[in-house]
Amino acid sequence: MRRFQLWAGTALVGLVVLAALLSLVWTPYDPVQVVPADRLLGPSLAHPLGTDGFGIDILSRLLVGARSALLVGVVSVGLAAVVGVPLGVLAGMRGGWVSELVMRISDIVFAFPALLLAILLAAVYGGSTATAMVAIGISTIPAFARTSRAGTLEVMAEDYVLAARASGTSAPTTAIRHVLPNIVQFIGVQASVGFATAVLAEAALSYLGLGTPRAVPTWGGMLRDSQDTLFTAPLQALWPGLAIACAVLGFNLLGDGLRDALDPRLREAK
Amino acid sequence: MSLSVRDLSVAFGRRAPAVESVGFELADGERLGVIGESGSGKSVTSLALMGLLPEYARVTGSVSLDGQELLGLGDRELSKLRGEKMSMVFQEPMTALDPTMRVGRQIAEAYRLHHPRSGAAAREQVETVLDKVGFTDARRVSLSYPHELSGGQRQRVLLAMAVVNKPGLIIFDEPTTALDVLVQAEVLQLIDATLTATGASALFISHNIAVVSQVCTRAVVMRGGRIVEDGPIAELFEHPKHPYTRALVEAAAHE
Amino acid sequence: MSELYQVKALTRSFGKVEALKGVDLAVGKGERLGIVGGSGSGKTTLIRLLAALDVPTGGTIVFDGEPIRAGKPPKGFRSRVQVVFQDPRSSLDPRMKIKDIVGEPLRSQHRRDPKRVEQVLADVGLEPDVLERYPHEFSGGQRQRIAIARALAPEPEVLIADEPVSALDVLVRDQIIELLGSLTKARGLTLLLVSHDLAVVRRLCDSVLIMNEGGIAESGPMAQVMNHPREDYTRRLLAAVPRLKFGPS
Repeated sequence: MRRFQLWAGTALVGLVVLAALLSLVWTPYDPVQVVPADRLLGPSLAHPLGTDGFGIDILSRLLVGARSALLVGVVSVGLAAVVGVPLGVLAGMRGGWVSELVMRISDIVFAFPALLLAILLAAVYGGSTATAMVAIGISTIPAFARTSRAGTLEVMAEDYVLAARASGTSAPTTAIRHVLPNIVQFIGVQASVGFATAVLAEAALSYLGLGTPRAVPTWGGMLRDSQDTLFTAPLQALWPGLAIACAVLGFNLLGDGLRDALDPRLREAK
Repeated sequence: MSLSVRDLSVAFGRRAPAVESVGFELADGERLGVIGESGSGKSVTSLALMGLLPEYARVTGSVSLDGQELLGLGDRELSKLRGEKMSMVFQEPMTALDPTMRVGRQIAEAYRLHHPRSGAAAREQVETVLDKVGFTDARRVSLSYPHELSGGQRQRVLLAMAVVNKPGLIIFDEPTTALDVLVQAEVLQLIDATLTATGASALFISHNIAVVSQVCTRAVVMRGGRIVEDGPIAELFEHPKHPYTRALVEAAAHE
Repeated sequence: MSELYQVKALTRSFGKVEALKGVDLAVGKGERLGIVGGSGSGKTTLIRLLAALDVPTGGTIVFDGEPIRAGKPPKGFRSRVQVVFQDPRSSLDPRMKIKDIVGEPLRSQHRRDPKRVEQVLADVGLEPDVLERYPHEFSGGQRQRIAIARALAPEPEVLIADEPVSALDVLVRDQIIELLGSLTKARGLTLLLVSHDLAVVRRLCDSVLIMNEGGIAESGPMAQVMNHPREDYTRRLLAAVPRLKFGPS
């Protein structure tokens, strides 16, 4: 079962990565070229997934869309984790005013709407995929800080942390050797959830013109475009929806599988 | 109440049985010790008697309480018996009590389960029973939350909950293991007095044979899911036959 | 006997709760001192302070002539003083291999010494094949052996043990007590052993400190305190120890 999670996760994420890589060198059709004659075609040999309201091949857009999904998901989650996890661990290990400060700041960031932040950034730097990623990343920091702090508090209550201190291990070494490995599962779950929200948030921001420009194919953008023709061509919404579900599920399974594979207690005994 | 356990086996999934062909008799008003270390199956046995094992546990054999077969009873019938006919005192008094509820209310709820529509009477019962387990300020205690009480006081509250419905059989699962020596002595005395006063039968599960020797008249020694030896306490500890019992007795005499 | 620990008027409060109310104490080199008391007596607070794992509210601790200031122990303290904790399920990091767990005190002194790790594991009765395994593969008793090996790895002078056998089964407990006894004797270690169980202390220590409500109720050589307790509290404590009603003839 655990092996299955790991393999299924790897397969799904691998599929997304492959699609992104493939789109760099080849797509069946031009993913941005509007072809009015081919509007809203159903699936056929020529267009396996059909075409959209602009007559563009959906498969081609889907392949290219994988690039920005991965980019946005990985970069914004990475940004949030790189800032949030150390802050959370610090707060959990030090306690007292350090913890108060970190938690209050993260409350403020948490309460600040990501959308407002994105508008602010877009106003200053112009709307682009990068500003969307930064806005999503920053607003996800509190989630990482919170989970890491909660996990750290749990680990700090264990005697092995005390034992490490008693044998002279410094606080930073303790954080790296004991705390991080033991909270990695919480971070993994948070990351897979974060990845899913990031893909969706990017779609929302692009919709408002605050993220990726409309012409660049993104899964979120495709979902948005399909709204207009949802009743006449429902498959339009299905494909990008499936792609997002596939990526989110893949990262979830991969996260769970990795957690179990990395935990010596859960490794299957021979 | 008398309890008769015959050929009781418990298995979880495909693993080796946790309890295998265990049998013993408990006469009305008798106190039987169940001695064993972790993994001996003693706690699984007690949970099987209470019908508290998870669904996927496979339980076979026979457990009869005053002639009534308990194995195979549905949850509803068992719920009626639990508390009313038999009750249990757990090891960890902090986790066995709900931290968000005043202890008086917890005892009252245990009482109301078997005495519906007993508002004022339940409140009265709470104070009576707290009084019985040695609290001189029953009213104040009943208004306390679990964290406001000491470990020994919490264990006495659990005892009060266990006896509030006057059950005929009380199962104690390591009731003093989490307590320090002085409090342990107090709680043991209290258990002894309560059992004497109510005339209830008792199953006393412990890894500490010195403790068992003070409360019980007979004992069974469990190891690896089986009973290796049983008999009256004096006989068992003065002339242990099984090498395992001998080792336990020697270790206890060491201390 | 020269003095290793000199403790004066030591206090420790947690908020309004005074866990330790002015403790004076001297521990000699090579002394094996048992610290006994009920829950809340302050015994664990005391040894955490002695292990420099906590900072006192007031008073002084001098270790081998050098004061421990604000939780900052003198140089070399972390290898000279080692601690064994109560619950080996909690005191070994589940994600580390045994060789890394036992090697940790050496690593923090920037010593890498696989030979030494193997040696101490052998000293506690474990084969070298445990090195690559993880804590969850071992029983409670074996884990406590591993914890003891970790404590002995940097060749300490002082071993502080906090209820080292109370989480263990009766028979295993007996073996671990034996092991602790022979190891501390063979190395001439100073032993500070905390227990709520007088029987354990009696077997391992030659002097005893009885604590009650954050203070010292009584202290002295083992035989004297056990056979002629001066304080009422000590007498009650001794009487409360459950005894086997019937013994082997």
